[in-house]
Amino acid sequence: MTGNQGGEATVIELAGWRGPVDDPPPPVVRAARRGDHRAFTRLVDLYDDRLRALAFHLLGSREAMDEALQETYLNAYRGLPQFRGEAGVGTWLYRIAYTTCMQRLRRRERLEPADEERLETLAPPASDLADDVALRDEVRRALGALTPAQRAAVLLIHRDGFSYAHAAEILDVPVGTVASRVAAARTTLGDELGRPRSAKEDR
Amino acid sequence: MNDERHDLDEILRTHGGAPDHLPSFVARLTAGLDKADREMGRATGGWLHLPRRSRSLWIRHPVLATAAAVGVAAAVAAVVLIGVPGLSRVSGPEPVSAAQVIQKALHALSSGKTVQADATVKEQVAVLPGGVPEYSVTHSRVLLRSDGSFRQTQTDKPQTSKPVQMRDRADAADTAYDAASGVFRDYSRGWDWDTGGYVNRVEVTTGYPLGPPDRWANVQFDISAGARALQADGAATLETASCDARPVWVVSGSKYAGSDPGPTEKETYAIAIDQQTCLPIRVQMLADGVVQFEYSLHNVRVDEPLPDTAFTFAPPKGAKVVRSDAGFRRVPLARIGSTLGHVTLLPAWLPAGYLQRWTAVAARSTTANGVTEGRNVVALQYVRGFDALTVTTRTVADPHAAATVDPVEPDTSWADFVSRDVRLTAGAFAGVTARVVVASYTTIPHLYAVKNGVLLTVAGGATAEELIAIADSLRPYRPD
Repeated sequence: MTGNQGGEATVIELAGWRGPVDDPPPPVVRAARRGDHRAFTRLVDLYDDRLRALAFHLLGSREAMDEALQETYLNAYRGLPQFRGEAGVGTWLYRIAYTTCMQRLRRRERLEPADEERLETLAPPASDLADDVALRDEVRRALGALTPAQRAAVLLIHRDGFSYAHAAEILDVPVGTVASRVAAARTTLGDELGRPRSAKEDR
Repeated sequence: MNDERHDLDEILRTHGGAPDHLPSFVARLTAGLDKADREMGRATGGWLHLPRRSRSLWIRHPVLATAAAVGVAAAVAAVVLIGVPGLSRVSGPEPVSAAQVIQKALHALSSGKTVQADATVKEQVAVLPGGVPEYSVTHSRVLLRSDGSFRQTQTDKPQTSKPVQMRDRADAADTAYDAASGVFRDYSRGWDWDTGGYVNRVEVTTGYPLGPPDRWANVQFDISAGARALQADGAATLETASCDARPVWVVSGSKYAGSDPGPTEKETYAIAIDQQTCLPIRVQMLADGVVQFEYSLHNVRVDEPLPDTAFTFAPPKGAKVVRSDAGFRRVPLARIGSTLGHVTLLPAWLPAGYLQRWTAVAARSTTANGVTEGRNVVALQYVRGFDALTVTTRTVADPHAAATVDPVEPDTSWADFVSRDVRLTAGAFAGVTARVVVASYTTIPHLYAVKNGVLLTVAGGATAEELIAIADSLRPYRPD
């Protein structure tokens, strides 16, 4: 499914897909694999805000997000020399981040079964200062009502704009599983947020 | 269903973001990466470009993404440029070589006073199936004055067909540096996770450093650095073309002029120089002939007076103002010695046209590489049109480290790629080996050396030979 030019991670070619993974130019990936600090920094810069969103909504706190991304970037840096470009470098980074977050969630669940409740308590207090403040809190609470797997799927599809096939690659599950998770997530989010269109019109 | 999906997309993209990293994130990650480097037998250090806050990555980051900084540097280079009515014409024979064109451009750059322009940065953000490049485009209004003052105001949000990233939100940005007062102002609007709302935030930094190797405002990148990189490239090529319907010369060379091209030999750097004004009007970086980054200027006006008020702004009502002091104090040359309690070193030779503009001292400062901490810093700045040269000396606690880590170029590995060592033969630093870096489109020409615990840097608009000659000419300053 994934394109591969000259053995390097270059162009992501999924059938019929012109999706959002903006892989950096091939020289940057090559340089990063060689250990070039600036090139690796560019990779971090390129994906950091999206990976933060994934990690934050999966783990529920800024501290946990940072811990997971520390691990993600260090593992990526150590693993880059072995990266052969079977997937795009963005896909690869997402996969590392997702796996790291899920591992951390599993460890946490052994200690704190009521993970979803924790998300609720961690959510910042609602503010009446601005609609977008309230909406952001509302979105966060609504996402917290999903299972982690549903949360990851809906963020990849709806926030980051991945195709189902591409999300399946990242989550390492069949496309149908992604679809069912997203469908379930939409239902829950619809209940939590009201109809999305309404929320938007209210702004 | 599609509407619902679209709305959910919109809500999650707008409100499904995350807070910035905690302040300790970069330091911890840097330590971890250094550890990984050691484990893998790689050189350590040079991780200072890791993100500290999301907006800065694209607006102000020096070299990251190769773009922003290069953008600004190129921008400023191009700034001086465009169609520029009223700019003095450069006379002389028609150029027949890349070297002659570059020489004309450098000459034109060294005589400007002010520039006002609309700048456009075009950066490749992705390669789509079929090898089609996709670009992000940003616009700003740029003001520049030959004393080093500048103003850069973002005029709209980045335009991209993939508005999936937080950075694509319509956050405003405005940056101003007033060289006379040494005050740097940075305005941004964005989400504040501490207060849980959008805030107008203004950072006001007083005592700003004059220039490299101390942290300096990006827009002060030496405006001729790119041209000098091409000048240093003996293999640079020349062709004629048109840009905005104006005839231009296009000078192209390797991004790594003067060094082993290695696996990146098809990465090139090109400057389009207006044939009428001899000023650069477009800077491009290309990989295999495809534009990765482009900076161009429009609606340029030159040498019209710009008041001091153009380089400052008042915080918007209700803005969160964060004040800090970078520690540099403007001091007359004659008072530097008594201020710091040691002899001041002054270059006895400078390239033609340079005049002393600012002198400053700081009790301590950390260089741009974030590694070298110095005390008793003396900074002397010379200007020539839009060219600037900064000469600094400082005492360092670890002379060996200071001599081996490039204080100007934050990414040591990158700088090592294009540097060479020379023996200084005269002046206060005679007998020591200096490292000279005059190549690479993102690196300001510079030289550094350490002797008796004092780190010397010379950085700015000069050739390698000129940098060496300046270093060789350093003498103790004796007030008349």
